[in-house]
Amino acid sequence: MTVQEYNNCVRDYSDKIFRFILKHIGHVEKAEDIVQDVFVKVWIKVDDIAFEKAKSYLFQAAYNTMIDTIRKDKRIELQDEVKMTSSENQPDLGLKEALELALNKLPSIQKSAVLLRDYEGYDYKEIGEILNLNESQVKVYIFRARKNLRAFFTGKEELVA
Amino acid sequence: MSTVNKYNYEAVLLDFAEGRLSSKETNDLFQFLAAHPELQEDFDAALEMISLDEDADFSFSKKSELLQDESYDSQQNLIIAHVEGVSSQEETEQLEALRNSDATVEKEIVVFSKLKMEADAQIIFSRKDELLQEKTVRFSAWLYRTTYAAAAVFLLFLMVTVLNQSQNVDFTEMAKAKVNELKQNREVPPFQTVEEPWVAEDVKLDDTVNPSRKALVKPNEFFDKENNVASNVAIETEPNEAFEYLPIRRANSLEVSSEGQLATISEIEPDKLEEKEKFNSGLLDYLANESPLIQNSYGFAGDLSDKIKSFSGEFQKVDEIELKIWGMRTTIRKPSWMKWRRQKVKSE
Repeated sequence: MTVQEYNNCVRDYSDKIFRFILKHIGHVEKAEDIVQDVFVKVWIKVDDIAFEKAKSYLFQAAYNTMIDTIRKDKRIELQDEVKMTSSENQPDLGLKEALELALNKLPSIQKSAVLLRDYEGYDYKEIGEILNLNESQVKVYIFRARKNLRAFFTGKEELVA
Repeated sequence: MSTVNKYNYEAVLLDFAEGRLSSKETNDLFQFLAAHPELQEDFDAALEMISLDEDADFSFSKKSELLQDESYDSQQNLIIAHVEGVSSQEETEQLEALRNSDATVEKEIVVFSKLKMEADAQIIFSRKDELLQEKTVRFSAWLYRTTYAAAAVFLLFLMVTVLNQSQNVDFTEMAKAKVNELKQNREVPPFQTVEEPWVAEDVKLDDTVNPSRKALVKPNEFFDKENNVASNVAIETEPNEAFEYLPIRRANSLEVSSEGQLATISEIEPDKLEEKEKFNSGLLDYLANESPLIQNSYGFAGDLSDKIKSFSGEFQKVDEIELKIWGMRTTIRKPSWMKWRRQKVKSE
């Protein structure tokens, strides 16, 4: 990857990676630090990374860095198991806000898979490469996530009808 | 099944109780029991198991509450696959049939279609400028110690060459030995920690010691006191210059230059030693293989601390630091505290 291509990656992908991380940890400065660390790693290996693979590499590095950060920083927690309940207790939410709320209730791995799918349009294989899962596992997580999201809107069908 | 004996009869009894014996095996079992009447009690117990299993009216009354609606789950799977765009031909046909027979299916498809996440374009990464790299930015610091070591090795090489022209000498081994000797004998002054919080406005010149020195910082031009940020701080060193600390809470794009002596930038994050190691493992590869920073040096044999110390100069010492080299430019990211330490060398 040339310097110009690296800079293009910064311009094109840093926002996307930042959003992806921020949606998980909900902490702007830590998310910024992770993005910065990721690009430092990429810059160090800039000659070894093909531009065509850069986006996937960046997301993979971002995900792994985020997991490392979370393990070190006990103040940030990822949920592994959740019981999805409906949003009936939040009567004034709009669709977007309710979706955000529902997303934040998903187990982290489901959230990652859904965000990569919906935000970036990655296919299951690509998501698997980023999250270190096989294609079948990705499909299972995405399907579960969709069902969990649906369950959140039980009794709130007017928002999504 | 092998012949029934004293060692396996219990397993055979269990098989009998569960109805897994053939007629021949059953016959063998009864013959065995006839020959061993003392085992009749075990046989009765096995029959009792059958009796209990068949007669007991134990059933879990709330089973129906636990059972999930398979048709609903299956229907959801079909809809999700459709919305995801991964339906097989068979699944497509099944969903089509459901659509025709159940009006609620169409509504569910609409619902699932609306449950997709959309990226918020207003959320942007605000520190892009810190990541962008320039094509050619020269970092002009000389690596004092490594250059010194290299020069010494070269002199040694010349001496050995002149003195031993006719002799078969292993220059490589001699050079390695000399480098090791230099490394072991070099003196690194102890690092001093400044406990008080450092703020950008504390940066100032010490004109009393060396008034001829060039300006270090142009406060009005470079410092944003309100945000406590220093950027584009130009620093030039002179031999015998004297000031002790130049504390800056955060700095961007620090250009460092010096002649003859090393200048370096250190980011100190004592609480993040693990990260330091992690980062520097990559940094060392970078320095060793690619960085123009050390293109005139002769390698950095040794461990991490050796390498970091290699950046120490006559007037500076770096210890317990995280050294971040950002391409050709050094960038300090928040939160960080940057310390410059120059030992006072008083002119007599």
